[in-house]
Amino acid sequence: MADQIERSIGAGVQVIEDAETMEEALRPAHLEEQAGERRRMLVNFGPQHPSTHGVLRVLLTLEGETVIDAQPDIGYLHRNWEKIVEGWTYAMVVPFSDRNDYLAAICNEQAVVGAVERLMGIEVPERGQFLRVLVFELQRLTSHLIWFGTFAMDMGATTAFLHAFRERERCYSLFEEITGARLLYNYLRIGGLRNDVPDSWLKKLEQFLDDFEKEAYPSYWDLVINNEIFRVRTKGIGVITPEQAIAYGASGPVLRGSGIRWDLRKVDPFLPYDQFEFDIPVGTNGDAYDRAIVRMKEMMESVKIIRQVMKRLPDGPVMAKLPRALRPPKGQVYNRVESPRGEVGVYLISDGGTGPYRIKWRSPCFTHLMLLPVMARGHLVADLVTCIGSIDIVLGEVDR
Amino acid sequence: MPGWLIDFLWVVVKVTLVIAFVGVNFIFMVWLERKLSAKMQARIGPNRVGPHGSLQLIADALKLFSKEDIKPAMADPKVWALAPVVMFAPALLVFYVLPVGPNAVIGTDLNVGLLYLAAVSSFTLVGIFMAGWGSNSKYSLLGAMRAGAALMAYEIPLVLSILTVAMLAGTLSVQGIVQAQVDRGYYFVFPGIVAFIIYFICVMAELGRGPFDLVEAEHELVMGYQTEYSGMRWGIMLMAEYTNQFTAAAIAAMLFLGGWDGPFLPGWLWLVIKAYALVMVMMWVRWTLPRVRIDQLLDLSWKFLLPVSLLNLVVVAIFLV
Amino acid sequence: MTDEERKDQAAAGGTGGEAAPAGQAGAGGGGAARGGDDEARRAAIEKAKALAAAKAAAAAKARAAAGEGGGAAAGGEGGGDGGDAGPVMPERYQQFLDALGKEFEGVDFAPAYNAADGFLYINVPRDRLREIALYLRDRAGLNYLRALSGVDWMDRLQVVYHLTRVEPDTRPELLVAMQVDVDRDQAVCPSLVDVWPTADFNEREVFDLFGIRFEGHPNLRRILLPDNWQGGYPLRKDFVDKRPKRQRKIRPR
Repeated sequence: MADQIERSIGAGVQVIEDAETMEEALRPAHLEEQAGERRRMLVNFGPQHPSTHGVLRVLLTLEGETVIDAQPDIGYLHRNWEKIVEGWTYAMVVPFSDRNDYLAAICNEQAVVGAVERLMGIEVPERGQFLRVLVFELQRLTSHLIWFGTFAMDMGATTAFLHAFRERERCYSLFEEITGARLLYNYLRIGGLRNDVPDSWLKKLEQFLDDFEKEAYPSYWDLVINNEIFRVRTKGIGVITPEQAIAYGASGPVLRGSGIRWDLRKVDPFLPYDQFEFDIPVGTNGDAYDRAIVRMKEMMESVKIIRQVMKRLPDGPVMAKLPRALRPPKGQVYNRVESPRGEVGVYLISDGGTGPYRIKWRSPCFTHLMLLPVMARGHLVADLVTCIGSIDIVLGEVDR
Repeated sequence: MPGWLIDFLWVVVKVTLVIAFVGVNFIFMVWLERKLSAKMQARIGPNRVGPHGSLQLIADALKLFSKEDIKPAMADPKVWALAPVVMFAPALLVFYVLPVGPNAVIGTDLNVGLLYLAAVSSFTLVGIFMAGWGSNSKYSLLGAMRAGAALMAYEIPLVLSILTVAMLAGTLSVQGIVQAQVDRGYYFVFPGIVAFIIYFICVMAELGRGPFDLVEAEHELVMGYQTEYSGMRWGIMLMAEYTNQFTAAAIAAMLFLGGWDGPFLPGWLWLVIKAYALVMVMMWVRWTLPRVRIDQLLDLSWKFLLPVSLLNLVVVAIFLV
Repeated sequence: MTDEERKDQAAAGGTGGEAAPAGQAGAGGGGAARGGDDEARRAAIEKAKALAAAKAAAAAKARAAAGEGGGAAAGGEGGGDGGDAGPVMPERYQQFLDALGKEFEGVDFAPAYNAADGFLYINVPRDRLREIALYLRDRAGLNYLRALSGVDWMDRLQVVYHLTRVEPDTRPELLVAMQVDVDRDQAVCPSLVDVWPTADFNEREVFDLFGIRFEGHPNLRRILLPDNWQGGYPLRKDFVDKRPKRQRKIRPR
């Protein structure tokens, strides 16, 4: 049936047939034409490459050192998550969703869990909600730490990567104490959390935040962000205008770097963020430097939120009372959360069964990759790495 | 014993000493780099092979020797094979004019020693081009072109800053320059501080070190001109790079910091100490700063270092007159 | 609309008008589709298609007989006839629907306000998709395409566009989702790349995984599946994985 559709191509539809050979996959004809004249080169960047965080392949059309076009080619990490979970119960979907954006696992879980809770109208107890905010923001902090480390390493400052991971190791220990895992937690449940946190853990968390705020965070500014070479490498690189950002569906720090103060925590809250005071940093020029500054400042805002949560944490249960077998009513819901990378959305269609009928994962990095040709045009190859790094891309989420 | 035999034996001894020193220096410097970077990055570094990991490089060298010698099907096998040798030779040639004491120079004290140094150290560029060309690979050639452009750009401020020292000392001979510092009682780093800084920056760019390591950086499409070299061939290129670091630091020590001058310890030890101090500063800079881009690299040289070094030359000349 | 249709809609609690009867039939077939084997799945799809065709014909006849335009009436009906279920649509959505109905006379939007996520789901006919999309972007101000999904109801495919308006520091007033029904066998849909450039990769993904061809897309190629994939469209319910199963047992030595 697929072949019949393929063969009924009308004149107006431009569909490129599947690549028959590896040759065609490596050098697609339409890009070769674009490369055309002798001075231009079609070069493969990736998929195995230390600077593309994950298996991303970019087909570059270069004129000397200048990038004329940069077409991303993804799908190397495609596991067809959406199809696999169609046969599972919701409880099984939650830990599997961790694996999409593996650097911000709690945010993925919140997206899925929140979708089911919206459908069923479940009210999570207050302590559970506050703790969810706490781990969500802690996850944002660790995700931005890894962005910082890898971004600086792409620029050449390898030491920053190891310093960021020193902080991250402490977070890993913290997470391991309450959830049992270092990276992929399976901590959120439909209706609350898996378990409560002891007070001793809160003390350790406070100690970590103090150390982070006093020593590590200022050193990141001094050594990397305020470094002249770093500024020269990121200012004016990968500019995204606000109109482009909205048109291409950017979200998160990419959107805010272009000056648009749109943060789902404030405009479309999915957790009780209105009870906490925090700012939304925005950039002005939409270049890589502004996006970097936005993320750095967001780290501090997360610390602020975590401290407020710890101060006002109420007592009570962390899990709502729910029936054993969860059967949401028939219906659909689009649940969205503000993950460190942008808007993660889960479009869930339930047919009344114990598992999803259709679940669609809206991935922010997938959308941001569309901006890569826009950002990289006219820059040098070295700047391409800066552009990719400033999107903070995680291929697990892009490919699902 | 006939005179010529004594001289010949003496040459053999010196050459052996130099090669031995180069080998030990390589082992020590790589160990130093790995331990220093580890300390700066909150790590430990090699600590298994030998006390404090000091024999790590011997293990690495053995590993490199045991690797398969992959010869790519390429343009010019002779050029490709010779390139590492051509890169390594200049590093050894610099030792010829190194003074290690008030009356001792390893080779002879050429009275155009500085000119010899400048000429010999720019020969590495030929080796890099040979590597890039002989590999018959688009990426290698691109990397070699980039390296060539960068290296040529930094030759000129380098030579100008050395010339400043020559003017201050009044002689081109390296031993003479060191002697002049000893006689006058001050090291040339004080009047020639600008020249010293320019020399340091240029030499880091020449070596492809520090914030200027874009020619072999990972973000380059592959390893640049070193792509097609594996095993000990690549090991020789690495050895050349590290030996060049030492000799560049040694030249800086001699021209600006007084070379073998110093109390109590023998002259050669002082030279080694001063050279390693500068080497450690280079490593420190490398592991702290991010990398510059190729156009920024060239801008820095042509638009900043060149005018500043010219100006410095003029100012020193006026001052002397 | 008959009473039967109204009850179906209220019970479904938020799906589009036409989708409700098919959805119910699909649920029974859906269970088979998920758990059973391939033949059962395909049989379920055929049954659902036949059922839906019959129901759609009946609904169309009923509607023609009743002579209603869809639009506001259905919204009011969704608002609670009989007093049960039926989420209440906020005022601004009603105004939006009135304006939309006035602009596009004769189009049955079958709107349903979904209280679970605050979105208004409207059913947009395929042949008028581009005009309605341009209207939504330019006149209604919905400048941000949040998500583009493909859905496989058993009798037809559907493309769902979630839209909103992004304005700094402002809570979005209007959250609209367009549902476009697409035939299973002739799966074609107009492309909205020039309306919202976000649609670019998303439409390629739907093309790759569902087989829906988007007319006017400048670069409709595979995006997620391997370049030499010949196995069909994975996210369809009748997809059969024809790849050879891998040996999962570890043979003892």
